[in-house]
Amino acid sequence: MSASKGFYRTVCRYLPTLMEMYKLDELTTIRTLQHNIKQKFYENKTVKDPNRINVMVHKADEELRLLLRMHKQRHHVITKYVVMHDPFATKAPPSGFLAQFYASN
Amino acid sequence: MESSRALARLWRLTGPTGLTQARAMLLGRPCWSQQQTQQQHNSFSSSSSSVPEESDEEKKMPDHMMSTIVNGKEVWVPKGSSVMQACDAAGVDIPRFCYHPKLSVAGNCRMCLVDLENERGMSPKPVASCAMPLAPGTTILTDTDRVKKAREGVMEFLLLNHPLDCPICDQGGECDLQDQAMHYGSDRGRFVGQKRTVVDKNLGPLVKTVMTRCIHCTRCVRYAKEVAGVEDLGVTGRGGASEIGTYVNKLMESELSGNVIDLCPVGALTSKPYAFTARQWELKPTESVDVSDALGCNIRVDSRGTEVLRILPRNNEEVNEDWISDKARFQYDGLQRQRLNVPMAKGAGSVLKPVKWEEALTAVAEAAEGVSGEDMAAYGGKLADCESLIALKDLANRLGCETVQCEDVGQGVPDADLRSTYLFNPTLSGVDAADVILMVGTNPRVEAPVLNARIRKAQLEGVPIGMLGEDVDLTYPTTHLGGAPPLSAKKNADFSLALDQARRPLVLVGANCDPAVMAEVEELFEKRRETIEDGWNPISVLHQSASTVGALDLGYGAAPKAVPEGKKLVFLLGADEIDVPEGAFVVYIGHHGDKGACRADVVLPAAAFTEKHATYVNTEGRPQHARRAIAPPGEARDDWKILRALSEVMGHALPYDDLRGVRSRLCEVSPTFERIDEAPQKATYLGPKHKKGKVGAKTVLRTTIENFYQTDVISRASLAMAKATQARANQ
Repeated sequence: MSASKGFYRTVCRYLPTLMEMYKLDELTTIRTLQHNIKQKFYENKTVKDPNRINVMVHKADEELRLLLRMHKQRHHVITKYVVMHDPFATKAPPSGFLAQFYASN
Repeated sequence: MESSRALARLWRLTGPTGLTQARAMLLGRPCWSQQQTQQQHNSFSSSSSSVPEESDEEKKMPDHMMSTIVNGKEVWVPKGSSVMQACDAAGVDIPRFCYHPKLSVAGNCRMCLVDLENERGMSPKPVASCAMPLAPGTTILTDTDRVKKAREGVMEFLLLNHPLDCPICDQGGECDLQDQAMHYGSDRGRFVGQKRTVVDKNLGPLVKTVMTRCIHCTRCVRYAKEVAGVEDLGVTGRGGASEIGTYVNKLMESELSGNVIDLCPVGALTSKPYAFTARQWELKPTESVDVSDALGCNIRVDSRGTEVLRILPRNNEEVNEDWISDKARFQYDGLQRQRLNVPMAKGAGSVLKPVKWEEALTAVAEAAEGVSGEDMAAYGGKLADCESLIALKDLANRLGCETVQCEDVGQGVPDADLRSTYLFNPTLSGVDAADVILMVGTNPRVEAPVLNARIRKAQLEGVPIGMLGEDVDLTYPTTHLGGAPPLSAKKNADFSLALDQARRPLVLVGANCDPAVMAEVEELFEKRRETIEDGWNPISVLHQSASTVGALDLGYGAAPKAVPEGKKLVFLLGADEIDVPEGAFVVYIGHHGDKGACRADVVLPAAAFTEKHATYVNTEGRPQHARRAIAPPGEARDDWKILRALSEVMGHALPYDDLRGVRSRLCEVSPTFERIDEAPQKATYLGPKHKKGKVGAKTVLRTTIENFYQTDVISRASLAMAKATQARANQ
């Protein structure tokens, strides 16, 4: 079993705990959350290099630990795994002069 | 005079050898210090006579100069200079309250006392250096004990009746008296009893008076009489009871009254709108130019944070000397009111609603779709700077639009092909050299008060001034020659004769005179062409707004009073005085919500002149930079940037992205912009350029400005200007 698959299962095992800790049941269900997380994994499906995969799994593992220790706040979890996009991030700005113009004088 | 006479008397009595003794007696100093100062003094004079002169001997002194020694340092000054001017030339600082280089010499504060010495010895008492002409062979000493003691004495008397209210005085931190008290003031007073108090005077809504602080330097009195030309201020009473004020309760009816605030060395005359707002050391000064009239007066914008707190004049002998008009000085509070700070577009129900920049620009691009260039028009406004004017013109031309015009360009400008037809050719400082001045259809008192002060100076020197047009009070006597040209030689024989003999005549033409009047004016000089000096062009067009000459240089034409029917898309770059018919889609780019923004379909908020780096060309064709003092409010952007962004959204991107790029484009269009701060070379008079027409017999030419205080969007939004208007009306 590859490192990533094993880690995915670990995450899935912790999902009910996380749902309870961050009171996510008022926003989503376990099924959708699991689906969202699967999407996150699939985003990197092109990566084949085991070294890179290991680094990514290690980083994700760190994130999981932070989540379990309540080092993250609720809105972090919501924006990253429930809504899946940052509502405060603006559209990708047009290039050059116009981008600067829209941003400030 | 007194002291020189006393000196002569002393010489007669004692002779040169007895003078040292006499000086010792006068000073009443112990013997050792006498010798010490004498030694010091000797070492000064010996060093001065040996060191600098050896090298300077080879350079021949011009005939109009004379040499003197100030504190042991040799300086050359023009003959006829005063002792104080020699000290200034030597870089020696002389304290002064009553002396001002632009005013007559009063010599009544006695703060500038110095010692003089010639081959016969020391002057018997210190002399007031501002009023003392420099005589040949005189040595000036400014750091002797006697001078210091004398100045301390003067200071003690001044502070005797001066209130101790520096903590609540607006002049605190920039007060001459405060500074001098640090040098010459005593730490304790020797006088007991009540200080003198004086009732404050009401000089109107602009100048605040606290007359108890007055030290009677009479600078304001001399200014009002000599420069402003209104004899409203004067001294009443004698001795300790003397007071400065208007004789009856009356406003100071001058467009230049604010300058007394700068002249006052103490806090007796301060600015009413600025009262209690800031201390001088909190302010950030920015050197800029004024846009309230076409002179381009040099100003200093003092700001704190996001607010302009005051505007002061900056000395430029060629433009505004030391003065600015009240409108230039006090209109800054208009920069806080009625500002456009967010882009707006008309949505459903045709009401302007705040939108994002993207949406506003897209709305313009959508409106422009399918509109041919012939159905578009672009108009520049009164306060438009050259950078935004060129951006607007480039954008319009790229869209195929050739109707690119500027409001407030007079009808007298036929086309902008020949620069000398629309400039103030003799230059503003040329007014000083003119030997006859003729005004045609203009009132410089309201159109350019600072220029009016310069003309008044010429009048005081005996230059005859004639006036064709409405007979108005210009603060100096003029010869009224009729309502409009032609000038009748029969009725005005004296003035015609003066004009016939003039080598450097100057004819001040109001910008709104029509071409027929201009042709008549040229006719006047066609006859007298031989007498005019080579290289002197008498035609001086006085424009009324800051943008006019820049717009003409960049190829703008004169805008009509109303936009012609059939235009579908109209760009207004701060143009508020032009009527737009129904059916046109109006894009307003400007900084104040006035008439133009009211009519607009899309409003793009821009920066006012204190908020951007901009170029303005004044009426004599001198390009000058205004600099950014504060940031534009809210979402507002620099005008040229808005046009650049708009051009990209409309699919015709302009080829410049930064200020440098726009400025090099300006230089491409007109080489004028390469010589910043320089007036153009004087253009020789080339003869008539206007087509002849008929001037009605009963025509009376007059200026178009009805109220001096409110002429553009900034001054119309200003509270101080509204108050001044009201006060003038109630007078």
